Amino acid sequence: MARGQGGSRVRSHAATALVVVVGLAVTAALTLGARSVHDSNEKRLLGQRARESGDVLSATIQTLQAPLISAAEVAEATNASRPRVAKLLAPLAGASSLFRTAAVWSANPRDPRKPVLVFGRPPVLSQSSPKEIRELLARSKKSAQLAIIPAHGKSPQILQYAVASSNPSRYVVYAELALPKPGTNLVGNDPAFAGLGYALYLGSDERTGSVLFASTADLPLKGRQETTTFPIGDNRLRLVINATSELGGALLARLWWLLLLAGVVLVIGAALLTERLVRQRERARVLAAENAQLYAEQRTVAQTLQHSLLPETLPDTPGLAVGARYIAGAADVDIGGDWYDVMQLDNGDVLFVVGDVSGRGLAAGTIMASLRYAIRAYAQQGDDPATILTKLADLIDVGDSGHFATVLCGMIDVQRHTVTLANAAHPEPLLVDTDHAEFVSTEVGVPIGVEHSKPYASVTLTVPAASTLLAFTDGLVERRGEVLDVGLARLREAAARNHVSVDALLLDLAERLTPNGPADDIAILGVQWKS
Amino acid sequence: MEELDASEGSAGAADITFDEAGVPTIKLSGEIDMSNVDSLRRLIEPVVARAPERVIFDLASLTFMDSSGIALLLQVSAKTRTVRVREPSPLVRRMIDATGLADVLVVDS
Repeated sequence: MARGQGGSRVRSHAATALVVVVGLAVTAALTLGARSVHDSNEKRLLGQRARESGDVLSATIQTLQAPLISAAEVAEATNASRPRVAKLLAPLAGASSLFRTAAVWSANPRDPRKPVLVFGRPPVLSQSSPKEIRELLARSKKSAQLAIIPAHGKSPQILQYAVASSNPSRYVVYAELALPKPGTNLVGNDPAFAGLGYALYLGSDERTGSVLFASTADLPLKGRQETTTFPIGDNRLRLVINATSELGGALLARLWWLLLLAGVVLVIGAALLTERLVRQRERARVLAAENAQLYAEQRTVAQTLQHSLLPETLPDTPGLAVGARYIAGAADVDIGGDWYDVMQLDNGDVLFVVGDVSGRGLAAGTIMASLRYAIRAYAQQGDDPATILTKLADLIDVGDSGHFATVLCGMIDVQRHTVTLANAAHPEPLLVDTDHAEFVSTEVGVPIGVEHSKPYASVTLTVPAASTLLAFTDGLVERRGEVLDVGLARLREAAARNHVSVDALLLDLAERLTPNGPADDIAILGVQWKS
Repeated sequence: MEELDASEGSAGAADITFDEAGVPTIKLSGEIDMSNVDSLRRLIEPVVARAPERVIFDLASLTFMDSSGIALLLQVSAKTRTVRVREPSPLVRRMIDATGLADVLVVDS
């Protein structure tokens, strides 16, 4: 038993493990799927936002560049007339303006440190070497120049912009913008940047040194990000944005977590359920096995008791060969009421009985035993079969017990080859010659246990030498849904074969008529005259 | 009116009615054998307990009965003056004849 339980534990764990593995695999697949959908969605949204914010920035740069380019044209046309140029540049430069300074330089100055016109603060550029200034001015004649002047001491980093009119290029318009520290909010509540981090770099590389504006001091940006670049003058601006919150919404972002959580909970639930079901099934299996064992034991007990109620051996009867068989019904666990008996009387006669108490169980078995021993007692007193049955009728009452009995009682005079039969509602016996069988007509009385005024009557017949009288209970011939006569005919046909002995006849009948074992119990008795 | 379908064993039923004179008719149907005879007996017992003069068994719908069924009929018969059996099938009729009960029960074919 302990081994069986150990085995069941292993089995139940295997089934549970399978459920867990499959469940987790499905959960993982769903979670990864959700994550993948979420990732691609976020990437798509971020790409879209990158294009939008790039467009905003590009437009802003155009807006800032436009007055400077216009100023360059005006300076060219007016020979750097201060009032004319001031109309464009003065509003742009100064303490509260976008540019800390705006200036007009001669493209080919005698003293490069001195601009022609200055608006706002003195340009930081003036502190550079004349050579550097000349080079910047020369380059800006070809295309607009954008560069960073590194911070000196306390002064911030400066973004410089220089642009010249296309042709001729006698003047260069120059502006400086003090770069705010990274982390300064420059975009306000512009919806184009909502939920985004950004960093704008000058040039194509991402060194922090070339950063112009950033939403955070913690550069480079982390996480999922998108980059857009656009040209300005002969340089490039590079905008990197990342998502600081879930662009697709919190639910979509948490969906994979929810799936994972729900999946794990479901897997645990399913595993527990499986474990329970497997254990229940195992318990049911053990119970069924125990029941089968109990059933087998009970059947064995019933059969043992049954055999103890039947004669252990048949008496030695000179001149007769007597055989008997008792076959238990296929599915019976109770004692049956069928019996047979043979006794040698003092006067040399032989009494045989085949009987059947209706019903099953201990009550039927007890009635059977009492009838059997009563018959023996009456026979010893010298009662003939009809008298025996009449006396038996007083012993049981179907009205009280619910049981009745059918009994065939025969008294054999061996020498005179006669048999006297009395019948209480029992199937009539079969007389089997070597190759012929015929049922014996008897005076059929009511069953034992049924009150009736008419006494039992007997018939006496002469039996030819070597023939066999066969008495049996109804289990041998009865089939459900079949008229009794069909079964009787089947028996007669089977018995009318040439049999070498009584035992061979009984064995053959049992095998022929109940090939799969009888449904009901059967008692068969055969008496053969040897000569 | 009572009816019982034996939930275990064979399907047999007993349907009990009384005529104007109070004579009970017990209509047995299906099959009666050892597996369901006890539940049928419990149904019939209250009828028999009133000790009626006559009981009528209607067996027209009874397809099979073994010796347990015979015992049931005989048990009722033992407690009443007359048991009348109506319309037994040939199979059941043969069973009644074989057990010599044609003398004890009044059989109408």
